[in-house]
Amino acid sequence: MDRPAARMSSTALAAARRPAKGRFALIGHLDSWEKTAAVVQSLRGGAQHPISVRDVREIVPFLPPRTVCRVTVFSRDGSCAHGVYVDAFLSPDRLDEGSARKNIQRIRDAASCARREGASVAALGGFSSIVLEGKVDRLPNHDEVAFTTGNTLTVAYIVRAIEQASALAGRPLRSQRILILGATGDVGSGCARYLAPRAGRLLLCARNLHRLRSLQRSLAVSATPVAISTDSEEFLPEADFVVAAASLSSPRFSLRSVRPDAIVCDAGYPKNILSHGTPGPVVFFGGMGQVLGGLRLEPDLISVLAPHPAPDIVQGCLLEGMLLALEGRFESYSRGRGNISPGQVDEVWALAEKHGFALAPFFNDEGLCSGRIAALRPLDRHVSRKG
Amino acid sequence: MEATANQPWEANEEAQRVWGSILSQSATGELIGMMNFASLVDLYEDAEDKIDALEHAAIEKGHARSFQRLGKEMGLGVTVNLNAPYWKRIRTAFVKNARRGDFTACLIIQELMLESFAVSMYGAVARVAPGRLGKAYKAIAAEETDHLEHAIGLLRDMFDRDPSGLQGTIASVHEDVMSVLAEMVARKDIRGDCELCGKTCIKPSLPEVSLDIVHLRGGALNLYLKSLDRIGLPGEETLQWIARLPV
Repeated sequence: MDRPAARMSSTALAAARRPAKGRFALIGHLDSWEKTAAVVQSLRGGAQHPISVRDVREIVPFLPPRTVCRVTVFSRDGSCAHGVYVDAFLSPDRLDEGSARKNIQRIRDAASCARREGASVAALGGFSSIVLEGKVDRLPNHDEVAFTTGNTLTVAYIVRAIEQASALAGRPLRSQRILILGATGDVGSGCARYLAPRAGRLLLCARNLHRLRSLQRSLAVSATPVAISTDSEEFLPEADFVVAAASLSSPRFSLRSVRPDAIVCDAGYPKNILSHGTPGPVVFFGGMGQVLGGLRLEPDLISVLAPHPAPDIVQGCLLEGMLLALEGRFESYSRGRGNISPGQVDEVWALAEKHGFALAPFFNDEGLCSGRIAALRPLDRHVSRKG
Repeated sequence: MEATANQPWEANEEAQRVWGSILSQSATGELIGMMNFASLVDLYEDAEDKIDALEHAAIEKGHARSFQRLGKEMGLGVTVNLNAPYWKRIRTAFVKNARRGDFTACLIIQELMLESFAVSMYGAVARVAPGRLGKAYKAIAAEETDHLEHAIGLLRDMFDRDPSGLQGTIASVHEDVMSVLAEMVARKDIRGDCELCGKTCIKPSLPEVSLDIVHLRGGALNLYLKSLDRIGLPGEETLQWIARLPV
């Protein structure tokens, strides 16, 4: 396969001949102090002595939210869109509810920054949409900038990944028991609605029993059995697939409770379900897309902002903002909580395909992992045992 | 607790040393400001500008005198050292720009950079300082805020007229002056003794008076960056400036 980055130069030339469309802003934050230190070090340049993580922890929380780099995204149809990445500088270790008020203020400031940058549409990455619970109308200037949580495209990438992993592992989805952790959240419920008519059995887990029951009732139209629980451990030993959609600063379940041949999609933010290697369940990071036409960042921070094992991989929520800009659809495509319908998922997926926003290759903290999923095929396991 | 002339307040010896050092830095910084404005008097050609510069110099002198007087009344040792290494480097940078008639650079040094730090730090001190000391810092912080706001307004107009020109000037001055201020507020002394603290650096003892250097530095950088944002400078550019400062 051609590397997307290798195709970028020719795409960029084509894009230069076509007018750029509306501007976008990507509002986000970094998920670890180590990554934050890498970004700061990259900005310091080679002439400066290395900055310690301790210094970064002491200085960065005081930085006002601001543009970190200019972003150009290239569609495979030859067009491009320009925008900015605005970091809210949330402290990676203070994403809990206790810091919600301070974090919301930072996201509001980042939203104001997006408006100053002239963005027509802004995507809220990571916790910036989670702490708002999708209530984008609580942001300043929401009448001037269309804010989207980006969750619809995130859901699209998650469910496509489940479908692809299912095919790769040789397991028809119709026979699979799919557990969704954080099932009543915006992403979790979107996945549940999409997967309900396609799975063998749906296992839903969340903290709020009332919301769980309500979701279960809404899914009754599909013939698929749907079970609910507030205890994540209850369904883990049964699940063929686990979609961990609850965004938590640390995972609240143990991979030891998961079947060794299960496939776990870490669909939350930050990605913090670490692969335990073999034997054991295969973990992959879900909700991620890859821009086949390429991305250009100025300053070029792509390797530190997105240190993934393949180029131009970005979270689905941020890609939705770029997608809307390429389409000239300056609207709050994803907003609120529990509004993502299967029809919207199909629509946003079609747009993603049109512009070459492909599903990212399967990867986890150890690197690419498609091979491990493929090795779950019954025949492969048989051969392996014989070997 | 209200401090009186004869009995400062119930503070231990180390806390009193810290307050004395804070007043020393403040008084010295204000006198450097006075000298900076005085330097402009000869350079300005317009009489009104000369008068303005003299008035500003007098205000800074008044602030310095207030700090010295308070220290004396409260029995604190206040040192004024216009050759203290960090302040001398800042003064040298100012004089260099004044001599070549770059008033914009002078405005940036005195009214944007030094005032951003003064407003932020005086505000922090005002929140924890006892009695009259706290009131004095609060009042002086308010006056310095007016100076900062005035400078932001002027610089925003300049930026609107010539964005790349002003950005270049601020970038150049930032390297000369903000690097010195960053060294002053680093967790540890980067270039040795500041020659205002006395026997040892007071930074580790700031918690004795409910302050700490991490928050003082963070608050000052925050206000400086917000000021740059309000002038209109691009965020990704000023972020790189901050990232390259000494720590």
